[in-house]
Order: sequence, then structure tokens, then C-alpha cells
Amino acid sequence: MYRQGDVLIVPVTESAVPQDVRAAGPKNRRPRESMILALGESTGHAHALVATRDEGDFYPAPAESDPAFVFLPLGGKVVHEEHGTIPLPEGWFKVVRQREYEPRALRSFRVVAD
Amino acid sequence: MPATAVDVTPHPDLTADGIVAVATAQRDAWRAIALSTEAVDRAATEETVLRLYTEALPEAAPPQIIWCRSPLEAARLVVAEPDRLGAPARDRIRDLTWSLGRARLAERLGPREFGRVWQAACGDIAPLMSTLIARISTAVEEQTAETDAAARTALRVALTHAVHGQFDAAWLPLYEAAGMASGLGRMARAAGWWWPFENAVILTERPLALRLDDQDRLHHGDGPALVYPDGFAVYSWRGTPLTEEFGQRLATTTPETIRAEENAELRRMMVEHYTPERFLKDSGAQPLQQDEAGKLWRIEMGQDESIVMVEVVNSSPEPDGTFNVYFLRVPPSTQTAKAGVAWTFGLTEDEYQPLQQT
Repeated sequence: MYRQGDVLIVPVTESAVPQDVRAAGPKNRRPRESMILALGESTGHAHALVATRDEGDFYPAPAESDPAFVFLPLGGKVVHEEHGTIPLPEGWFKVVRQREYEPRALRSFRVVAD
Repeated sequence: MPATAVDVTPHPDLTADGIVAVATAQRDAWRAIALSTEAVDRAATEETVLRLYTEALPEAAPPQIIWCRSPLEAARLVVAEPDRLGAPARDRIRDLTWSLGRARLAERLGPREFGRVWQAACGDIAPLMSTLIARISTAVEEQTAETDAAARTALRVALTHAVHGQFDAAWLPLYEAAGMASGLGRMARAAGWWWPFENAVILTERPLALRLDDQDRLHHGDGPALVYPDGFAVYSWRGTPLTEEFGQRLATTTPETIRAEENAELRRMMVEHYTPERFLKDSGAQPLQQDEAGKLWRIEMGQDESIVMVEVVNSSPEPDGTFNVYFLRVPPSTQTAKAGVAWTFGLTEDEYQPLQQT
């Protein structure tokens, strides 16, 4: 697994992708458009995934607290303005946003955004 | 109603999709109108409201114009001076446009399409508008002692005569996209709440401040979340109403006041506002444990659950070569820094094995 700031990218088997995520289908993107894994709330900086030869699919998270999924048949790399670039091998990945604990009376957790 | 017939008839050339397209393009503009805290242009507002009276009540003499600084001041005036104001006129000035426009639009689009188009035009902002209207109305009533039931009822009645101005963004985006309710749309852009009567119209200022959190809930820890120029204020933490007394106390939170607060829910708000990280540092706490993931800190909170945090160092250096340190709050049962960081990604300590971190 790979970590870039508040995003964790975990290699998974294709069978680990939930049915509802697969059924919803990948997000449409224009050619050469990078896949935004997470956007920083204050800085506007993004964890963006660039697929090798533009071959790849991004399956958005159904809800903010759920993971998203990515398929990279030729691998790719994750880039961010404030973090080092991480090369990724080919395959399926689960993308987990970092969360923070909050006492139950207020909210159970919230997503961290750098 | 010949003068306002145009205002309640959908534009003949518009389709459902056409209305949705116009409303979608105007969504951000309407949100800005709804949440505006700009000072009101009184002269322009007066001109706008007089024009609306002329259209809706062509036979009547122009109303006297009265300015108030908040919905509270206005509601009290409505209760205090019924003879000066005359009979309520909201039915003819606002409600008729609302109901006729709605009926004609529903007739044109059909019931199914009407629902879809309404949702597309107003669905995002309407819940926030009704919450704000309800919170302000409750706060107006609560300015009078609970024991004075008659006075509270009178204020409640006065509030039913109000037009919500900027908060009519709950429905006006649809009407305007369909080419209707232009006069009420101009009023929404001009001022805060207003009260139309036959002899007079009460106009009010917009709030001086209106603060929401990232989930559109009234929220502020350093004073009122909503405040009007006369000082009428609503205190709120993540949408939870606060008393004025606690709202002011929250703004001056210290580690001592946190520890002295007996109510667990209020104490948690105080910790969140002060930030757990600052509370931990200012309490002289020491790290409990340390490993390759960072340091684990804990503060006991008596009867309430402990505050446990991991202190982690950013893997990528800042432009000046230093490494940022930050704190993440984790569940009270966390035993190690690594288990804490693993939890923030929904993993156990054993599962969390990053190959590369940046």
C-alpha cells in the first residue's frame, strides 16, 4: 500500500471491488484528464492520479466515508503539489481518505483534507 | 390581478429542461443572494417595494416605509403598533404570486415534471432556508420570557406575516427561471425580511454575519453564528442551538473552563473549539508511547471519554526543508501511535504497512 498525505492507496484484487461500485460504473473523464482522488478543502491542492498512456478508470466513492476504486491496466502515478510523486504498478486499487475521530455525541468521524 | 399577470405566468417558450438549465446556471448566484450579509441600499429597496405595491395593490395609497434593524425589532413593532400598520397584506403582495405561479407551473409541466424541476432548481438550498427561517423565528420568540405565553403567541403571529426576502431563495430560483415573480426576486436581492401591511411596510436589514460550517449548519465558536445590526444574535455550534450565555463562554474557552464544565456535550464543543491539540499542549500532557508512525498522547477527562491523539510528522518536507507536525484525534481505546494512524485509514495496526509514504 502507498500513502500520500491523507490518502492511502491499497492494491486489491478485482473481486474486492464492491458490486454497487462496479455497477455504478467509472466516472467519465476527458482524454488526458487526471483522476482527482481527493481535494484539499483549504488549499485547493489535489491528490491526482495520472494513468500510464491515459489507460485507467476511476470509480468514485458512493459516500464520503467509503473508499473509491481505481483500475490501472498499465500502472500510473499519484501526484500532489505538496507531496512526492508515488509510482503505482498495474492493477486495481482501493483509495481510502484519512478520517479523524470525533466523540459520538457530535459526529462519529470526519474526513481529513490537506 | 392584471398588473401582475405576467409575474405568475410561466414564459410560454420554456420547457422543463429549459427551466432546469436556467436555474442550474443561477444556482451559485442565488446562494450568494440567500447568504448575503451586505449592507442594504435603503433607497433602492424602497423604490423596489413601492413598485411591487403599485403592481399588487394598484388602488391603494403608497405605504409608509419603516426600517428595522432585525426581524426581532420588526416583529416587536408589528405587535406594538397594529393601528399604524393596518391589515396584513402578505396574501396579496407575496402569497398570491407564490400560489398562482405554482399552480400555473404545475399545470404547464405536469405533476411529475414539476417535482423534478423544483428539485433541480431549489432542492439544494431549500432545506438551509427553512432551517434559517425556523432558527430566527425561534430566537425572536425566545427573546421574551417563557412565562409570558401571551407575548410569545403575539410574536409568533407577527412572524407569520413576514416575507423572508433573501431566504425566499427556497423557491424564487424556480419561479425566476420560469420567467415569474420578478418583483419578489428584486426584493430578495434588496433586503432582509420584510412585512407588508396596508398602511405601511416594514423593511429590515440583512444580517451582519451569517456563518455556516462545511455541512451548511449554523456554526461559530467565536461569537454568534448569525447577528443583525441591532445585536439580535443566534449562537450555534454545528447546527446545535446554544444559549447566549454559553455562546459567549465558548468564545473565551481555556483549559480551566473546559475542565470546569460539567455538561459533557458542552465540554466536547469547548474542546473542539479550543482544538484538542492545543488543549493537550496547554494541559502539560506527556506522550504515552512512540513508534515509527508517531507519538501517542492522552488526556483523561474524568467521567467523559479520554482525548487520545497521534502526533505525526509529514513525510514530505516544506519548502524551507522543515517537516510539518500535525495531530489526529483517534478513538480513546487506541494503544499505539501506529494503531492510531492505521485507524485513520480504517485498518488495524497489522494491516497498515505502507511501502512508500510521501
